[in-house]
Amino acid sequence: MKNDLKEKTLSKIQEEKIKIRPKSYFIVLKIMTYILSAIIALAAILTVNLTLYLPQRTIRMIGKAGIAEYLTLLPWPLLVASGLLIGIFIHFYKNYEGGYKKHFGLAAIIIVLTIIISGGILAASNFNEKIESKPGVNKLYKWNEDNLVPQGPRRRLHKKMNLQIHNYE
Amino acid sequence: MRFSKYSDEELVRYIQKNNGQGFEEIIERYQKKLLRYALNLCRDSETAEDIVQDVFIASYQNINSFNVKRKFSPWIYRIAHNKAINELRKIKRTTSIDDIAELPSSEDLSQVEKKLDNKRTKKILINDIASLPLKYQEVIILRFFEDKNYEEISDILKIPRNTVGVRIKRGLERLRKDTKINIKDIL
Repeated sequence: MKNDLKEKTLSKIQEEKIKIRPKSYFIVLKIMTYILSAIIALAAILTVNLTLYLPQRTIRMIGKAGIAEYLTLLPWPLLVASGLLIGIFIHFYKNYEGGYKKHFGLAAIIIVLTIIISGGILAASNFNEKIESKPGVNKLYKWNEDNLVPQGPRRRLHKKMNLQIHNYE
Repeated sequence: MRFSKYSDEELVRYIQKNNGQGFEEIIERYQKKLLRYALNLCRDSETAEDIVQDVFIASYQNINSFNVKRKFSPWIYRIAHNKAINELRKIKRTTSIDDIAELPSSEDLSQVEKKLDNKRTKKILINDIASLPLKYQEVIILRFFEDKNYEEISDILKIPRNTVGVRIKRGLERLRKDTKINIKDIL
């Protein structure tokens, strides 16, 4: 068994012309992983920012609204997208060299809080007001909330808001 | 024999610089250990051999990804672990005791294997370990059958060191409850 396995392995490497991957392959892979992780983290922060900002924007147009109205105005697809992006970033972190050595639960909580707080800071700043009028980006801010709100008891309230939004624009 | 004085990491550095020359020494050093590891997880000699062959081919292809400042053993065991787990997901996991394969040679036995009085006892123990959840199986096999320390197991399984300790403790508690063998002085 012993020599068979060694001989089989070495002949397979020769017959199938299996090559050693060059070091540059792994360097490029590592750089791409870091860039992708940075993009995902940034996308997560921007998505959280939009999730928090869009309801505020709508409420400013219609006047005062309570927490219940704010919650029903939350763009649920964006909330789900934020969760997914944060999950992907945490997955990348777990798999990077050394990421598993630290207390993973605590690290995950820190990552989630950092992204949410960063998104919240952006939403509270004038970042959105500066970019929402720019071409291309303005469509993102003018989403029709009718497509985002849930059916049910809040439907009439949202129809009313929709009329007001159209009047405003 | 010219590589026998090289440590694993020195040997890998040589292999990286010389386009794969010397790789047969890696196979010599690790084939028995990896075969035993794969056998303890899969309990089938053909599957174990296929896994170990795939491990050596994957480690040959990716040898340049290994950082020579780290230990080589956890790196290659990690590849073996991933291949074995993928295989376990495909094959039926229940095996009768008599079908559990044995390594033909009795060299390189782990500390636990030296304490076990006969092959049948070892097979019963392996079978009982196999009935544990996978997360306990992995750590028990690595700790007691591969003589790996907690740091090495942490690097192989990519879990925190504390988690290794917790899983070993819980795995042994369950094993002591379920097995018919007296494992008090063995594990």
